[in-house]
Amino acid sequence: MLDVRGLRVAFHTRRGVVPALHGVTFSLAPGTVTGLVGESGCGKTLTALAIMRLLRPPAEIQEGDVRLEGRDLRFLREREMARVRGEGIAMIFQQPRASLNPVFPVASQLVHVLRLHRRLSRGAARAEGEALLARVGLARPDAVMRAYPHQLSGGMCQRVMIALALACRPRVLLADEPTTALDVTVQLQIVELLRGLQRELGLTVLLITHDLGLVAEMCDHVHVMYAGRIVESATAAALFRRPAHPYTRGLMAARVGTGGRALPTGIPGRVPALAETPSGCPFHPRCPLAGPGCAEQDPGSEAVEAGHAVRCHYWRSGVA
Amino acid sequence: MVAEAAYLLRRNPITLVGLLLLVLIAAASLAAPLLAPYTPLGTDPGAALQPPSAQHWMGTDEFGEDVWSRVLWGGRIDLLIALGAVAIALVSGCALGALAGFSGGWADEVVMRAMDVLQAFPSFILAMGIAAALGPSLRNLIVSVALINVGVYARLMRARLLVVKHAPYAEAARGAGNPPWRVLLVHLIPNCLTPIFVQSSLQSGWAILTAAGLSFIGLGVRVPTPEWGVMVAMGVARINAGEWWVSFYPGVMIALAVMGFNLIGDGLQDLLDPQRR
Amino acid sequence: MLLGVTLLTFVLTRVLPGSPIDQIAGPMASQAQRQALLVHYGLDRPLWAQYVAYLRGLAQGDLGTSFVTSRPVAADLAAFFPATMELTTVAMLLAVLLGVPLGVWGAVRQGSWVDHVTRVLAVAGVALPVFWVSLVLIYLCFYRWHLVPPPMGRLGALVTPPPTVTGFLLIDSALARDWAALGDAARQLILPVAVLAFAAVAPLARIARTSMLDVLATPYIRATRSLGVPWRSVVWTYALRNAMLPVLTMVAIVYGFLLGGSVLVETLFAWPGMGRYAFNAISGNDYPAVQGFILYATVVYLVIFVLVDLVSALLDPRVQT
Repeated sequence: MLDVRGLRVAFHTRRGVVPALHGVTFSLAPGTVTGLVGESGCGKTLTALAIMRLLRPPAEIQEGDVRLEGRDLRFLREREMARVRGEGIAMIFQQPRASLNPVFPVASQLVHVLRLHRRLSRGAARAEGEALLARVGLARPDAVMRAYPHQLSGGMCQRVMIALALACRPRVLLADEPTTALDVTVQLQIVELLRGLQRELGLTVLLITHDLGLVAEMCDHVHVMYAGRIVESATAAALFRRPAHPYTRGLMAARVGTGGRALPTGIPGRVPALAETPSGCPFHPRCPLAGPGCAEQDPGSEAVEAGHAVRCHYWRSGVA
Repeated sequence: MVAEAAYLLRRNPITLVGLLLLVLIAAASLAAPLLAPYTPLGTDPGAALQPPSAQHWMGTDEFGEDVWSRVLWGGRIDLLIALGAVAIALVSGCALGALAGFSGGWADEVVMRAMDVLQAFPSFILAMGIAAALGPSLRNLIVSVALINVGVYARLMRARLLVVKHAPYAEAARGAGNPPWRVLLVHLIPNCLTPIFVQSSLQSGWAILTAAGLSFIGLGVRVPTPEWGVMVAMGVARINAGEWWVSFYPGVMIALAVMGFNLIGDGLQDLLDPQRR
Repeated sequence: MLLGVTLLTFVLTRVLPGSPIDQIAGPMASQAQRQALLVHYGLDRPLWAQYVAYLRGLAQGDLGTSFVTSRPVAADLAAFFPATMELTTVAMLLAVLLGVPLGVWGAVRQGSWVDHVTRVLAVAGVALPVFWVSLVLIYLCFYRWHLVPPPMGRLGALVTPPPTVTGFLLIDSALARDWAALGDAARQLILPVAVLAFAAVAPLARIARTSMLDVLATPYIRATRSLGVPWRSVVWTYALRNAMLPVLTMVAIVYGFLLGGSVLVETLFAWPGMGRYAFNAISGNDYPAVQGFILYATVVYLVIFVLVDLVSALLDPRVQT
């Protein structure tokens, strides 16, 4: 459904051109949920924005191929791309309240989007809008329609955003950390909602998150990102059964386990700043498996098993 | 910091222009005694109202004084007014703002209410009132212009101080036993100065305009002192007779000086607030 | 607050050098006559008593009597107010209609020639002194090129004014269907409005540009774009609303600047407004008139701020009124 090949994004700063994404490549199969996992700053959001062509200066796509159902998105004219956004690919964002325009009531935007993508009359759009709000689990859709974003809670804002995205009837949904900014109880509800909607509508979803638990619950495939590169790709089952990359294994060990496990262990060191990315394999300063060659050469992709790829020189020594 | 400044100047040639402009004007004014071919008050009735020529680059006014020389000497006066007024406003405004922000309580209330009253007036009209009350003279002009700008600095200083007051390094300084006034002077105030410098550049430009405007309506410097605003006023009656140069050149100088200050102010803003493009 | 304003105006005007009595009485008056005048105008009483009397008069809407014209200041100001208001309001409208779209365009198409032109205009508008621009325009447009009528007030010498309804010549002549007067009034307005508008466009265009740039970088505009809303709608339907809020505040501030500038412009164009009245009052040491003018202008300024606040509250639901 969605193919990304060799995506390179860089920032133009006072100190020169700083690369942020280094040849990101992955595909989304129709009707599946794919997770894009990594810590803050590894480039997950950037990837989604690049796909949607919503990057603003100083960020810029330098190279790469993005295709939706075979159609090249990178070189479309802005007017054409605007048509692809919404109907082709829709996105929900990390900070729900900040992503809703504060001076417009919910109804305005919802109705506008509905009329835009579905050519409904104003009355029909209002009705459909309320129906959508009910579908995303809002108790009093009529009140929400009239409300302004600052009058709604974070969870409600997120539901509104999901409703807005759904209003476009997208084929692909990019969900950027949809639950991170919410309370834990609300998180569960939103996850339930997303799962239900995905199954019902057969949406192709790219779920961007740093929460492995979420990945375990929702995802069919997973890609792990570090410092602007995908370092491991597998089905969710395979990833949890046999994580190959030392970074992935570090992330798994850092989770809070259930019942009788040892305390979680963190990964030493910090995610490098963009301008200070280490040479060779960017993970080598923090890597327990680092050896000769890691600081010099960025590893290529190797197959662990069918459908499971990893980019590491010494992954074998870590895997049982 | 210097490297960043150099980079920005290269990216924003307009700021460089502003800087150069101002340096040029300042240098020319300072060197007035050397550059001016005629003395600024030297009347020569026989040569009155001559258009620009080789002997009088900017022509002469109705008293036969050479406009170019007067413009050069006028630069000293106008720059003095601008910098003087801004300096006074800065020092008194910051002092008041520091008092209000640091002490809090009723000192804060009183000072801020006074500033509110000052700022409720349209600024030029207030300047008119003050200048009229004090009487037309160079010194009073500086005072008038200074007074209308005090509020801006007071507010800026107070706002920054309120934020900085609770910073960890302030607490540390106090914890180390420094008396409050020392904490204020040595630790807090230097951290509030950046936006104030940016403002000062812009205020200087505005100060020149206000001073020239006041002098134009007779509330500032008086004839025959060479000040750009007064010079424009002197040429008003001459417009109908077609003698445009008397008013034209001083006005151009005002514009250039103000532009120089504004461009520098903008450049400073870009330098210190990297999100602005 | 208002108390502070009145106090300050009072103090300022009482400090005016020169005694108005000399002006009114003339050089031939005897000592006794002067004394009588002092008493008549209440100038022999201690300052604080004068202030209290002034406040009491204010409460009844009495701004004192002009020393020069011997008419109530309030009446004088009310008579001259519409002229100034018409001038500043038309200038402000023009500045908004020109400046805001220019600023928005500059933000949307950064680096285009429109952007550069707007920035140059903005710098020029702020730097060029209002009185100088007036003179240059009068010289070029009237004296040299004969494009506009002589700067002699609101109507040409041979035109009769329409019956007064609002005091705004443009509106009154339209109401009376006096098209000749309307055309004439409009022609007389061209130059002074151009001068004031030019000065006002600069800060408005600037704030519109900056505000628009800020808004276009927000997460909610990004979200709107992600829903497939075309760029034109994003800018004009959504972002514009968000960007207008700081612009409105600037409108109020610029209005204050125009009120001050009107003093200069009205004097040069022989415009019978408050500004020229003030100028004459200052030259004539006319305390009550000067006081009255400063108060009047400040009150108008405050009213405009209140109006702008109200409109802001309408536009931005987050503001609590």
